[in-house]
Amino acid sequence: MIDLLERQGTSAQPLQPGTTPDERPARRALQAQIERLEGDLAGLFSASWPRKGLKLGVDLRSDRPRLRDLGELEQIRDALAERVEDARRDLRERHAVEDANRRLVEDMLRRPESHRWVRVGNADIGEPGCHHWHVVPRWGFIGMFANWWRVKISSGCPLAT
Amino acid sequence: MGERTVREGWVEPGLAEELPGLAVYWLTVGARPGKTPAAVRDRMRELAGRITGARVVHSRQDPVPWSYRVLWRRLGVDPDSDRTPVEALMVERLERGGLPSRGMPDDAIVVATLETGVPIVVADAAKLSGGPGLRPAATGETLGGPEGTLRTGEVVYADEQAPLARLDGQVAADRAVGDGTTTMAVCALAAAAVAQIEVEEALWIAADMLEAAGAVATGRVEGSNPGRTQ
Repeated sequence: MIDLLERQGTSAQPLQPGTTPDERPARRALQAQIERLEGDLAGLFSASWPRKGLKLGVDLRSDRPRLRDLGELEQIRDALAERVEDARRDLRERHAVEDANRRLVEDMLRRPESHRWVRVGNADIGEPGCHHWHVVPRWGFIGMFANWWRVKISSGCPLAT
Repeated sequence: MGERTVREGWVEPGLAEELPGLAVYWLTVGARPGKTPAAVRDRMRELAGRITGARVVHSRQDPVPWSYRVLWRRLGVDPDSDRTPVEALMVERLERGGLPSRGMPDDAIVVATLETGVPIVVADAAKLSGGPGLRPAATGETLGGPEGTLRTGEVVYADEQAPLARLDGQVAADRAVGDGTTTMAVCALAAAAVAQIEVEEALWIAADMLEAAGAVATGRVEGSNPGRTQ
């Protein structure tokens, strides 16, 4: 027994496993995650329209289509997850700003004199088109000095369908 | 219209195991390349009118285009820079303001792909060795031509002897449809979650158009409306 322990204690090489780990469950799990994240990203892309300035592309170098090893699949999954999380956060922040702008438009209509020269467009509330609300004085200089203000609502491009 | 049989192609076993549901379906149709008939150009014009910016944006969530985005992503391709065939056509429509006609079989491919979302590839059937399938490219294989170099392991359409086409639709120079083509092999790539009926519809649309265009060119049929109507 002591002889056996001594022999094991002087061994320089660690024992190697006699089998190769099966990567298939891990690959299947990663493929499923990639599918789900791509679906989430597509949903965010649709939800973000027509807003501009939101980053929805994935920071990963595109390559010719081929089977990926486990490390590459993890990279793809991680890049997608990061982009989905960032996009969700950015969209939430944008929604908050747009909600505030909608309340601003309501207040402009109620009390235009409190929002002199303020202009809010459809892009500010997350809507498509060129529609905008602009607080301007009634009758020019007379309105400016008499504190008569109104909201001028423009429907945008005259040729828009 | 003659009898046509949609056949299922082969998929390399490792690829099939990694990507269950990946398949290629194909059929052959007697047709020659040539000018696009007026009826097909009208159909393309009507199709272009239905493709708006909003529709392109929301198409990412449609089941069929989304399935190909997932396939591209799983194969390491960024679908936002190297677009799937249906998205590439939609973006081209937006950028050009329409769908330019390029003759047959290209226009048949455009209509079938845009109507169904399923990518279509057309080759000269007489030059194929056996049925088409999907496999990784071996080292040194090419499609011919200056941009035909394939990366080792790149997933491609292939017949029993050599690579046939890239997944994005570039066909090997020696098997592409040419002036001497009399029979075309129409191949459709099926991603997971894409129903076989949708793939077959894409094949039938393309085959109907190709056959009818050939019939009009030879004077056998007049006033036909190639392809399926909505």
